[in-house]
Amino acid sequence: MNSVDSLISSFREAKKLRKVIGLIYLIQLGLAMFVGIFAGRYISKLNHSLNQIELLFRYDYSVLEDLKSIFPSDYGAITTVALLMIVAYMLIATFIQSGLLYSIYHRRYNFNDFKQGVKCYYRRFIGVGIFFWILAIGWTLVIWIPYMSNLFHMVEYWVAEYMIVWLFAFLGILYFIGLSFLFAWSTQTRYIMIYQSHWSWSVFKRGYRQVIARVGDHSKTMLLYLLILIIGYCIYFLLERFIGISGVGLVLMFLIIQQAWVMAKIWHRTAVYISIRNLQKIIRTG
Amino acid sequence: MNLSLDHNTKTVTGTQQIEWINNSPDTVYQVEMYMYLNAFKDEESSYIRGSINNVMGQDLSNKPEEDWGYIRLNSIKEEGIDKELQQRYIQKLDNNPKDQSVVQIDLTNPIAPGGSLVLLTEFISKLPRTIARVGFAENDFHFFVHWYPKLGVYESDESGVWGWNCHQFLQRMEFYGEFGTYDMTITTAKHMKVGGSGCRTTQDDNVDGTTTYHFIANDVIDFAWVAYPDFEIHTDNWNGVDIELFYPGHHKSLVPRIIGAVKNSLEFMEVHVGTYPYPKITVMDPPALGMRSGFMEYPTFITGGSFYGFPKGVKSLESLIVHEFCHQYFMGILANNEKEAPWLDEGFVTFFEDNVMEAYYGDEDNSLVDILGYRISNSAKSRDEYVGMRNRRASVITEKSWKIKGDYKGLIYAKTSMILRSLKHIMGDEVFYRMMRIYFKNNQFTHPRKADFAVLVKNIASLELSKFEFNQVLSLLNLGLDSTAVCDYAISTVVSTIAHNGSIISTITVEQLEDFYIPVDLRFTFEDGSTIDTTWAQPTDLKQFIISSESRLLTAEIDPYHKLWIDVNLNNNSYTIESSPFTVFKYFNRAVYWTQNLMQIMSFLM
Repeated sequence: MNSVDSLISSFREAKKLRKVIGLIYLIQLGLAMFVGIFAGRYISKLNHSLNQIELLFRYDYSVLEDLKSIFPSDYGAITTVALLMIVAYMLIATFIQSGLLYSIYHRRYNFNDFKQGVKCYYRRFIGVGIFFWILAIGWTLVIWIPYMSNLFHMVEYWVAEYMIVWLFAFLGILYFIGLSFLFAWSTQTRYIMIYQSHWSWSVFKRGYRQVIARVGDHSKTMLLYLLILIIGYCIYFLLERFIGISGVGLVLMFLIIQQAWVMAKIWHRTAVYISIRNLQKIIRTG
Repeated sequence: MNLSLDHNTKTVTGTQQIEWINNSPDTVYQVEMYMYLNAFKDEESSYIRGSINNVMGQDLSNKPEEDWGYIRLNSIKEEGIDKELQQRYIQKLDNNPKDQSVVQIDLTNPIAPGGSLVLLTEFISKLPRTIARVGFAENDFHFFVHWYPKLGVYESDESGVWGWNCHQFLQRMEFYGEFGTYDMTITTAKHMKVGGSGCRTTQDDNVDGTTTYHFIANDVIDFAWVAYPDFEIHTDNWNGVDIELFYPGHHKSLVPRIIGAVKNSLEFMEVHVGTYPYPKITVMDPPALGMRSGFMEYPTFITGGSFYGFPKGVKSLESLIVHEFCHQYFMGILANNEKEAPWLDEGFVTFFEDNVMEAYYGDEDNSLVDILGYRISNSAKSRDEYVGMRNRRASVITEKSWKIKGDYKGLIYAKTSMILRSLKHIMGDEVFYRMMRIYFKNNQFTHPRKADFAVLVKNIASLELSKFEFNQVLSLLNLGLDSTAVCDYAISTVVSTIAHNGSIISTITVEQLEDFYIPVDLRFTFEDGSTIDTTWAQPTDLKQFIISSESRLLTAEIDPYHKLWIDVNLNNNSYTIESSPFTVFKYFNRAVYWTQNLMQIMSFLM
């Protein structure tokens, strides 16, 4: 089975987890709505201004900048709440992952199995999550600190200025490859943990070996995953660019598009977890 | 001048013959000259002292000796007299004895009114590593500005006293010079490509492996030039004006954008201000390594700032070229004193930059940025630079450059531009641009001052505008130019009640929340489509308008024609009883959607 077929079959299998996918979506939506409420209250400070109607029909830089300059603390509150909600979700995500991966690993798609996974693994998965986050931060620093700290030097001393741009692009690709590797490694590690049913440091090593042993298949899966995401975002931006959220009907239409895309990404990630499980299973049984 | 560039030592040695005519009623005993390259001689110059060890983000601590520059006047004599003239550095602005940015020369023979002086100098200029545009960079990039002994301007000040206007070089100072003809011969190594002010008339290879370039620049106040071996040259023409673009090869894809911006600027300025009087405009788009020399204007020579792969949706590349080109009219042809009245240059230029960008690169919505649905116009960005100032009352815009406190760009560039934009909207395009054409025609090659502009505006406004509009213009000039007043009109409340006779009584409270009292228009719109246009001719802090009508009042607007671009909050200029919940809903959705996306991204390893 090639990677595309594998991903398609994973999507089909992910459908069986629709209750969990729905739960994830509702949790994300619930938390994000706090930010939405703050943003809505902020915009409502336009009160009875005609500019409020102007803002419905087009993106107006001046209206938003004037609002920011008059109510800077309200603007700051939105970013603070957004940050808090994102951190909160990152913690909740550990619970979700434990239940979700447990269900996928055991191919048991009952909601009770999801709960069983949460109960058994959420503590261990917090540790795994923190470990991989530290690795991700380290990778970020390794890739970008040398570039950023030498940027002025490169600009002033490199005759071939296009090299600076291409180096940026190259590092960007390398960065995403690294993050994709971490994603696959972290997923495989969790599967190993579920398989072993107990915690040991060796899970990281075994998870790493799983990825390395079938690095080509993992790469293809991750590449497909990224490609679908990129295409999805491009389509969204093109829609927003050429149609625009301008008017009551389009606000409603984009609400549906946006939420459908958010839901699709949860389904999509679930499918990727399934694809990665399939790669793991083959090596284990093989 | 006869010049020779040694690219190994980054020095230019030159001889100079200066002919000066005394057009003043005074007998002149001394001359004063700019020696601005000495600002980069060491850390003791007034320029560097005023920089808090940092010039445009460039750290100056531990700068190696070879990275500093200087200019030395090895010899200065009057023509026909074989005697060195006495020279001394003077520091009129800050008494810093270490500052050598202005030299005073005692003449042997005083120059009577109408008489002339011919000075012969020998000088050497060592370039610093690029700082404040001037200097050398890697790969033999050399940029020459403030690089030669240059006469100040002998003129009367605003109180009528004649003297040399030749200020020391301090932070934020740019150009002020007398008009003249520059006849330049520049010899460099053969591999150099040389561009600069004026026209390159000849280019001769010498037997010693060097090349000599001859430049002539007429009726200009300065001469700047560049030498770099890796430039490509693109030539073009617009209505008889030659355009020569020096660019690094890897910027080739940007050439049409840069040339287009120059042509658009030429066309707009010719129609709205006056004919570009020179035969040529030279543009230098520096390589990244010479970027510190970019973003600037010199007579008939401008520098851009871009990089390989510059995104198309971001039109700051064009906006920059337009801005620098518009300087040709204000810094160059009118030749305002940028040191004493920077608003007359930078402010006017920013105003025309906004207008050129909106005329050719979009509308009032997307002329600067149009990327992924986010649209920003050039004028909205300019306005935001003023509105977003931390302290809008730090200085008046007509302050001398070295005395200005706070956000210089927000004040000089943006606030002036908003005052001019408001003037344009009050006067109307036709009257405003006719006035600009008169201002330009009457003052070209003369160094106009504030009064030259303000008096003309008042005269034209008194002849062409209604009394109400004239008063708007007067308030704009008085409060805009000579005070730190801030404008913020607001419709505070709208209350409607039903009277005994069944008519609807609407009470509209209008306020000036700050202290910029300027007459304003008001418009009230009713449910049946009818409108009442009125004015608040002598504004105070607060006024209530009481209107009796048969139909319900729908909206109240202050400044409904959007004339007052100096108003710092446009959101409170209107009131509608029919507010739409969908705007709140739209931004609620947007915030929810992007937070969901961020949650998904950030949780990918959890």
